[in-house]
Amino acid sequence: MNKKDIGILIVDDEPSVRNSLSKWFEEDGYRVGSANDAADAQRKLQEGRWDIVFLDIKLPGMDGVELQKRIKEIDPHIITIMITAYASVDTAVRSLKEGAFDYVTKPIDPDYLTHLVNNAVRQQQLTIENIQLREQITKLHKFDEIICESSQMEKVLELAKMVAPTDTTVMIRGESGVGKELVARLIHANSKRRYFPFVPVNCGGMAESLLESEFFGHEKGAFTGAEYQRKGKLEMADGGTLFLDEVGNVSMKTQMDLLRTLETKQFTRLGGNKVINVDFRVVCATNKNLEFAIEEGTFREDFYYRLNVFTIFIPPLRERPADIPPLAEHFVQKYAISMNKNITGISDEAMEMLKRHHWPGNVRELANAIERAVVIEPGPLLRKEDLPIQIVQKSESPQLESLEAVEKAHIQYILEKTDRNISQAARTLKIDRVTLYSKIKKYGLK
Amino acid sequence: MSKVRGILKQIGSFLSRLRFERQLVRRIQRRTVTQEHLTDADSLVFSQTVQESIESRKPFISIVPLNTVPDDVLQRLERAISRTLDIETEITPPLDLAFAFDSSRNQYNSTVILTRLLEILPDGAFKILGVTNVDLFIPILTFVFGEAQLNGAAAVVSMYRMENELYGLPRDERNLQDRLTKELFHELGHTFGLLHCDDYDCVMHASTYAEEIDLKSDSFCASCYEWVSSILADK
Repeated sequence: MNKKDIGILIVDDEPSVRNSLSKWFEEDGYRVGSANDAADAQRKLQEGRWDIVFLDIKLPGMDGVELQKRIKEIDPHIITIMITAYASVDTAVRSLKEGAFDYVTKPIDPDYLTHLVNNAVRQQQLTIENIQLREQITKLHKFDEIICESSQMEKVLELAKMVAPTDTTVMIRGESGVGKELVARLIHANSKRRYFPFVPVNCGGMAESLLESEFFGHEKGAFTGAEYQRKGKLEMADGGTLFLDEVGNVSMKTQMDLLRTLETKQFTRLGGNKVINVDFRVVCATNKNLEFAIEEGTFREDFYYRLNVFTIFIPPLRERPADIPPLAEHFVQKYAISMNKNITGISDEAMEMLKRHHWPGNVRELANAIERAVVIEPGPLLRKEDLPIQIVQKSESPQLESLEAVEKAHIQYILEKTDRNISQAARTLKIDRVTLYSKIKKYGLK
Repeated sequence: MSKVRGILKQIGSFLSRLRFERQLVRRIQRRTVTQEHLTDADSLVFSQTVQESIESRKPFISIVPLNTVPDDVLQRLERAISRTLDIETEITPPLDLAFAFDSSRNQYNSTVILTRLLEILPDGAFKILGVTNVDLFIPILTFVFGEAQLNGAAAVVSMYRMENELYGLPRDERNLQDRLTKELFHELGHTFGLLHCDDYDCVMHASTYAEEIDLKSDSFCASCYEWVSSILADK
């Protein structure tokens, strides 16, 4: 911010103080104004924008502390600095309680005054920046930013909208790549915790011992290599939202520790004794069948019930084909801009191919397929040759309604995908080669 | 031989008259003599030259010693101004500062001094700079090194707070002169309309304690110098 843009108002009944302070700040390049009493000051504050107000405690008509209250009513972000001829602890405490930035006694040391104003300006800039950033955060994640046209996704968004302002634990379920984290971020961004951190933890990507340290942090010397104290994700999420991605992969021991923390909102760092209080909301996501995992004994039932308070299920992309065209168009636009390519859309043939694809990797796969196509296509339209996918017949055909028909179609699809490499196809299908051979023979796939 | 001697005598006489003429012009410019002091013969010989010099005289800066300031300090300031800004200066008789003394603070009010300096601005002077060794203040601050009229004609600067002895350090005349010169240029800059400069090396950078004056140079940065030069060019 330029100094000329910073307005300093001096309110003092002594002309010599007003003039000397005005001159001092004018030489520094600030925009300066002065008022000789409370009424004059209030008029000036209504007329223009002031960032810092120097206020004499003793003013004719109205006490400086009272005037400060009025100023804060006009604009709570104005920085007020109280000046007085006689230092008094009472008035100092009173004015600071009412929100004064500082309190100075006349005469002021020039070096102190310079630092005081520099700090006040910095404080004012940070306040303005903070307001702007909060506005940006509010605008950043709106529900209409999720691209969808299907009624299934509209239902998902409706549920997310409903649960976002509450503090309820949310479990988001759905296949890999459907956008579970995006929905979790939307829930956070539309909650009252949006100005606090959103802390995602990928529970599936770490060894148990590391995950424990990741969650709870550790004290210096807690284990070999713990050279410094480290805050865990639970601590970092204080005030905000903790997103447990792939929560189905958390080990039984960590589930127990996490359950205790979720219940009590208290924990200790690894190797530490100090109890740390935290306040966060939990949103978790999984693509696993947790009910089955409970039966298998790999997932704690109590932990499941603690998490499964409000469930949102995101259907896979193949079940909501209406979302494919708007999503595809969105990704084309996004990647064309980022790669600076002149691609304006998708050809009808390519779009048809996209609609007919099975999309086992869901929206993530669609995004990656479009990204690759944008790389190789010179433009102006994305062609079907650019797409790294193969067409699988959709289940429109009545033959595919039986389990055998689906199995046949799927084996056919995998064989085509693996260039008829039997070993690779058997590995993908998780059956042995002999079984695959017998099924190929049975369905006449060779 | 006598012919050569005669020529040398003529040359000597010519040079001495030339030197006398220059001194006379300078004294008249400084108002230490007036044309009435000249003999009729001098007037006849030099009147034309003197008249031309007076008429073509450029505006100058008046330096006023406030209370007592050593002559050598003032002369060094004169030289510094002449070197940096190529402006003529004039040192006036000292001014007693009793009128600006504030007994409650035991300091001298620099704003009151500025007002008096403006009242005694000599004819032909476009700036008046007061130099002193007393402690200056403005009502809201504990002290000031100097004060100037922003875009005006008067400035005052004090060496009182610049002296190392005040801070328990050994006296350093050279350092004191450097600090005084820098603050004099700083206040002079304000009279040309310059505000504080963000360039740490520029003399217009604000200094709120003595050691901070040492950090900057005694010259204007390119943009501040350009500003001052453009104003001086119009004079």
